[in-house]
Amino acid sequence: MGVLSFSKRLLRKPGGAAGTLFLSLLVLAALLAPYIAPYDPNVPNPASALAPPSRAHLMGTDRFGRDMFSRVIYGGRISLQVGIIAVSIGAFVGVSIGLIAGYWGGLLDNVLMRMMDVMLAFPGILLALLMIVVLGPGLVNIMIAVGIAAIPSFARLARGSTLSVKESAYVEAARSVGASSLPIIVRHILPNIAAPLIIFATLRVGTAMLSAASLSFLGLGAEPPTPEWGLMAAIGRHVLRRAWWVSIFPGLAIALTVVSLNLLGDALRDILDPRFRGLEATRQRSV
Amino acid sequence: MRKRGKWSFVVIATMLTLLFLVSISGCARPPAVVEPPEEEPAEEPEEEVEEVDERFGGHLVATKYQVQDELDPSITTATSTMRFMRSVFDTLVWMREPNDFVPGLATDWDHSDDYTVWTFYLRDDVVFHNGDPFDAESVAFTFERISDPETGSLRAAEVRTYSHSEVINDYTVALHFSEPNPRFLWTASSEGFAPLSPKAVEELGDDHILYPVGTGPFLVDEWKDARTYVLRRFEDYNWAPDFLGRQGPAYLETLTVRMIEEDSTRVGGLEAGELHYIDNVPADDIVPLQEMAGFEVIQFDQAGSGIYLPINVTAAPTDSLKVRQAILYAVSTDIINDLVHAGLRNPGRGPITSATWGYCECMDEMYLQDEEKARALLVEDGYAFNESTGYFEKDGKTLEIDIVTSSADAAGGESELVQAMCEAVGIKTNLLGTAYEVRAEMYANNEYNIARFGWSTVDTYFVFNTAWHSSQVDEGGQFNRSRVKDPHVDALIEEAGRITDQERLLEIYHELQRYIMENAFVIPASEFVGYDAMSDEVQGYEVDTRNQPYWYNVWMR
Amino acid sequence: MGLREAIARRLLWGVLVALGVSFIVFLIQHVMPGDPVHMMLVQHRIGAHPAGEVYFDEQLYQEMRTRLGLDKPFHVQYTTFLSKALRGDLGYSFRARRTVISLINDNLPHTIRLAVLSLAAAALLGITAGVIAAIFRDRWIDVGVMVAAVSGVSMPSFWLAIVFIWVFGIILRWFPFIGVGSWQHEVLPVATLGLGGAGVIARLTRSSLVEVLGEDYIRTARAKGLPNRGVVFKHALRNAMLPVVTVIGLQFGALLGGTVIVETVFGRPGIGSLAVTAIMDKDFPVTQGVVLLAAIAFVMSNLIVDIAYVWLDPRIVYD
Repeated sequence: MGVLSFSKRLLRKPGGAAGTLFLSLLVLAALLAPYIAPYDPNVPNPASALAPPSRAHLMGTDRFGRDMFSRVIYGGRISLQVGIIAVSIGAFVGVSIGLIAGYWGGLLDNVLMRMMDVMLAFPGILLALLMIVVLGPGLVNIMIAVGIAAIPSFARLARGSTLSVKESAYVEAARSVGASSLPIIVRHILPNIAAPLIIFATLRVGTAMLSAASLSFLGLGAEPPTPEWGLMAAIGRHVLRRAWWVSIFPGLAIALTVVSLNLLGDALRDILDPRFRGLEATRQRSV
Repeated sequence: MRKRGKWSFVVIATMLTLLFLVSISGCARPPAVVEPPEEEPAEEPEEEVEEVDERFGGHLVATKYQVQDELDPSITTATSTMRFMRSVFDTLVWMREPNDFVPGLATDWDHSDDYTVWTFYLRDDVVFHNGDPFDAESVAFTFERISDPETGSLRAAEVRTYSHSEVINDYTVALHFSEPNPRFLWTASSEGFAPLSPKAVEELGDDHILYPVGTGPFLVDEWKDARTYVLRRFEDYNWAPDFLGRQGPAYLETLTVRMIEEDSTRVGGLEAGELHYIDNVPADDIVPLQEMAGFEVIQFDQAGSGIYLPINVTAAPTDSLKVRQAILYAVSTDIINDLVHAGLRNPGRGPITSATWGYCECMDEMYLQDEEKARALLVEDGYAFNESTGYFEKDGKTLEIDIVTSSADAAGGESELVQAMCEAVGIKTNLLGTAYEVRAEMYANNEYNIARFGWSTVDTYFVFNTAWHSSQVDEGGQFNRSRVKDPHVDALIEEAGRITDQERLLEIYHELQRYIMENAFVIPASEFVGYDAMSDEVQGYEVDTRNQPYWYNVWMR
Repeated sequence: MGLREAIARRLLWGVLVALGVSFIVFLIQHVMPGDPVHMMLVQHRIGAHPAGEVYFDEQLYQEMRTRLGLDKPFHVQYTTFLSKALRGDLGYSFRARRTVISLINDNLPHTIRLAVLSLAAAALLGITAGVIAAIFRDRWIDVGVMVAAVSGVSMPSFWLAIVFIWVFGIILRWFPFIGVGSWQHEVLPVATLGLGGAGVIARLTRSSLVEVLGEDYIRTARAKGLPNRGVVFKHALRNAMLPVVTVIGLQFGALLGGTVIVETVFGRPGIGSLAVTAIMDKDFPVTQGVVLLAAIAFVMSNLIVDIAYVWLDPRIVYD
């Protein structure tokens, strides 16, 4: 499928179009934050503390007088980063394990997948909590903790897909001419299992952002004054009744982003892999 | 057939799960031994009685911001729990003011000349919540239990020198100590050492931690769920200390304690009327609640050390008095208070807070910020200002200090500001924010110039003995982080531990503060303040010198 | 292989998973910075008003370590835990001085009630939304309903809970929100968790139904002139429910995780809040107990779902 026709099909779906549009805007805003944001997100300005939304401050200000609009824009950078890097960690480790287990099978498969079962049996939030207590709070550690919690689902998905692709004619053919394992995996198997993995990863970025937000709420996430959306929504709750905008805008930013990721994921699934009907959700644990 | 087969498997699986759930919930909690009081409250209006006291019969719901369901005061220590247990357990004596003791369950007391034997003469008309009479045996039992390592009491250290009890008769008991214990009344006035019912401890076993039995105006009646317990007034209560101004049962019929960690939920619950009293109000909500009609914010100025930053007198360059004084003149504790605590607290002035018994007003204006004076002191000490680096230096070495502080602590703002202020006069200042373990290591290895310390206690002696005696430099809790080993200081502290004469104690504490500050051993940073809030339905609220409420006289409008 | 052996094998496997989980928790706690005894003696005393660091007694510290068995080497601590756990004894809480079993016993019913009610709410909302979306497939109503359904799962649950408390608890005063006590207390927490679960169920119902509606026998039924509504409900829905039942069962596990946040925000008793407190307090035995419980619940719910699957769809052979 060509890039052009792919984009056409994606954008023809209402959900795909809406999701793509919002996410593109978000990524653009995140990249151009220094040019778009009217204020420095971290410099306090006590004179205008807790100002309601106005022309000068589109989303009001927080208790230190920092412009919420600027913080939400910069927050997009951080929250997307957290989501994407965490999922990349989970995907890289998980897919590697899944490929190895699925391709070689046997005892190795058994041992690896049983290990994944054990990890899966942890409620994700508790695993992440324990990891954070060990690693200490901070952005990098959240990414690691949330990423680790995502490993087993990626491993299962990759293994399942590998098993079905392994039996296919072209892999058999490659094997019969004596191609070694690594090239077979990289050239033949990986491209053929990529579709469900991409869809799953898209959805999982949203879950990771939500997990990071929950950790921030429990005081184990990003450290102030980092403009991470979850942290902003969590800290803003203390002034919710006086200044709703401090918590509501970052919260809405998270919700809109995750909804968009979901819409995009659904649309991708319809296009890439119609048979892959959301069964990823069956083993997915969110917070 | 096949259908039935399938069903049976589902049933088996369900059964297995249920079995598991049942097995882990196998041991149901025995019912409270504490019998609910008779079904006829004393305030039941009778025909003859003309005035019905409207204060009786209220139901108050209060919060506790920590989730800790262990209540037995002999074993645990959490202050937020003890603020309620204080009204479940009466003590032998009550402390009205630091060092001022009045009769409680003991009508009188005396001690041997060397303070190794304390004799208490007990009331003979007191019963425990379970109906057991209170007597000398129960006092002896309580102290034996706390000092028994088997009990695992967190208070064991406070009675380390306890040796044994001597029951002289039913209502006279003598407590013997292996070393002089002139300050034993402090201990005896704490709910942690309030007499327990020996029978209740024996009968309840593991459950005593949830349903402890004392002689106070409230009894632990019921656990509604794992986060809610109900204290009910003890109808037979008739031995309130004189200063509470009346006798008979408490006004409140029930006092429900709910454990809620989430700050915004506690404040929301107060606003919505679900809660009448909340503890630990977050800083953000203090002013709004003060401004809102129908609520009252209660401020507790905490006695103790406050937060101060001890200056290490054994490490260069802070081994020089002039450098230490320069640091003190560089710092403004008023600015720290304004920026870190929104101006809500009192700025720190000395080694103890202004709310502490024995505070010397001579501290008030001792070191007010004066950057010129700070620089002059450095010059006097042989330092010269280097325009190119912006720092003072001596013999080609830059004047540089290390501040160790806590990374996790949100209140670490004090150290940050001290850093900024020292830098402003030309002292290169490194801030090392670390986890507690690393910090402890740095303290132990003497690798710092400025540390951090804070301790809340009403006992002035404990502050000085813990944080200033030379024995606490390398041993004990190592809380003498200024590392001061000064015979003058030691002598004063030791004398304070031996005597009970109020005037001499004041003299000693004043001298200690003056000496410590003249030698610039600490940067006082800020004082501790806590906030609670309540709805204006709550009447008659008062706290004792340890900031514990007298729930006995509280009533609901 | 017969179903009976399969179940036996799965149960055995569940025991192994539980073992693995307990080992990992033990290991994590062992490398965790911070000392539980220090927490008890120092942090624990800080009480109502934070006081930084307080004095503690070295002798008491050592006594407590010995008492809690923390002075023993790692493998001894672990084997002691295992041998006790196998006899159904999860030990004593460091902090609460009660058995872990009794703590779980006090908290579990509240979590189960919350999870069951939330699951019912999620299923009701999710299936309704999914059916509507499938009927109006690819029309604006489809997108609207699905966005609404997915938005619940897209908000941080603590935030949703706080907004609910603010709007329905404080401004409108429709529902009480502090802890548990009456059915009204359940409304806001169940709404928070239920909205989260509804999104997943709605999506699955929709896609499953869309697929079934495209199958031959439905077309046949339509061709025979059965009224549209009857077709959808009688045939398609029943067939589409298979994956939905699966996901509902597995959502139970996810909900148990969600209770961590919701219980904390609403000040409710429960396993989730018990776990958070235990982790923060470094109350090792309680953390181990709760995680073990969660692992067993996970294994069990998987097993039940698999069995339900076999039962619902005779074509599936269990192995």
